[in-house]
Amino acid sequence: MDYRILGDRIGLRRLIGRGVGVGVLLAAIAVYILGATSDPRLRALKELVLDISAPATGMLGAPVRMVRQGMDDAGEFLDMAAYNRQLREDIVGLSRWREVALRLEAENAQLRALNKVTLAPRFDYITAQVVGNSGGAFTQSITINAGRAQGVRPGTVVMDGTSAIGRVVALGTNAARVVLVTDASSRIPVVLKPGDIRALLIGDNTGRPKLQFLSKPGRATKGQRVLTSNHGGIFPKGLPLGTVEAMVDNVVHVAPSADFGRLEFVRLVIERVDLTIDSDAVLIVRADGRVEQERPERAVAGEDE
Amino acid sequence: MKAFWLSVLTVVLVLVTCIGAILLSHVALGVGPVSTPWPRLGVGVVFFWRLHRPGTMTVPLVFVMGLVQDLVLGDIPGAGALSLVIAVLVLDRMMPMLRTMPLPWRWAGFGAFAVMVFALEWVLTSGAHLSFQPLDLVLVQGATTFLTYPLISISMRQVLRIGRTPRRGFQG
Repeated sequence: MDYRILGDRIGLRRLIGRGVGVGVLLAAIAVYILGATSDPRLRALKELVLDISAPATGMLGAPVRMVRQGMDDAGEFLDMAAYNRQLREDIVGLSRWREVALRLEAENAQLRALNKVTLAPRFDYITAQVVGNSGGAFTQSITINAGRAQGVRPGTVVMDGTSAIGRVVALGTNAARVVLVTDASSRIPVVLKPGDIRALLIGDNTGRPKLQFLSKPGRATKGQRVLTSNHGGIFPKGLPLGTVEAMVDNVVHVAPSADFGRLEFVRLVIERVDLTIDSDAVLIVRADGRVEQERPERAVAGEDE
Repeated sequence: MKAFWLSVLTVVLVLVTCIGAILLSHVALGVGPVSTPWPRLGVGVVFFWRLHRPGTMTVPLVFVMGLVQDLVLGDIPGAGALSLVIAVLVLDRMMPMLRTMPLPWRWAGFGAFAVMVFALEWVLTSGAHLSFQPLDLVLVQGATTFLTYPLISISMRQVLRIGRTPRRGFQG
């Protein structure tokens, strides 16, 4: 049986084929609109795919990681003597700094106790392995093997060794997607030091995010450190992001501190509850840096009666 | 009965190879900067099956594979799927001709397909972000994807031989 559409005679089978094509096209447009507007109805689908794909990607990447590890081990073996010497020197220097840091923290805690200070939130860290990266021109994100079950939450800040690299945007039970600071959707309030210039770090899918809305335009200089400012409340204050690299056509570009090419393990910043200190309290700074609050015994006999 | 099971095998092989290729594109190789665009193997495999088994790689399946690719790679959901569907619908007329041609011609056909897919996805991604995305990365990723097609074609030819997967009628 033939049908006439816009003057053409076409068979029933072809007609159904065209109908399916148009239907799929409309469905694709609808999904794109939902995706472009970050509609929450797609969240469950994203989580499902994340939970299924992360372990599979991890397994597929295992041989690659083994080969890379072998190459790294071989390289380190050749440099072992020089490397050991360097490490010994570093340990001596770091031990001295550790003593200084502990003394300063204890002194700081005592001063805060005198002033009824509510401490800024303290943070724990969990470590996760990078199992996938977008590796694409359209997005800059990685997939890690830690999720809701490990205490990760949407917005959790992710660091490499010392600097912030992004935040969690999608969460599965045992996997999460981290959008990197270089992604086009990334916007992070920052402060430039020295100079206390506030700005917004904006990713553009290249390896060099740019600074916009500077509080002191034209005052940014090459080499200034770019730190998170905690405006907006997602990134804790003072996490290093990179350094001001260059100004091209009045746009300030930042060189990230993190080596995005070597992201194998990352640290996730898990926030702990606030600790309020009253005037009676004594802070105990443990050797491992933990701060505990202890109320002293009343010295005057009979006061509690 | 044998034909039925061979049809099932074809569908399974098509699905497994497509999803495998998408996951391979997502593996964290840890070499080079993250902004280095890796080839989108899924695009090549979808093109291959659309060319050689159009009755299995139908337009709805192309959409599903595009959506899976978007969700796995973290792109804007629907951007890749819509690009693949439009490219398949627009370039479908060249497929019957390409099917019988030697590899260099099929490779050139894939080039046209890849150009359309990446250009559309660039437009859709730029539209979603309300700003033009860097074009150089798209060109590099498109080029790397284009260069991998002979490898995909040769390896998928081996998959085609598994159980002599039957060729089903072209359904458009």
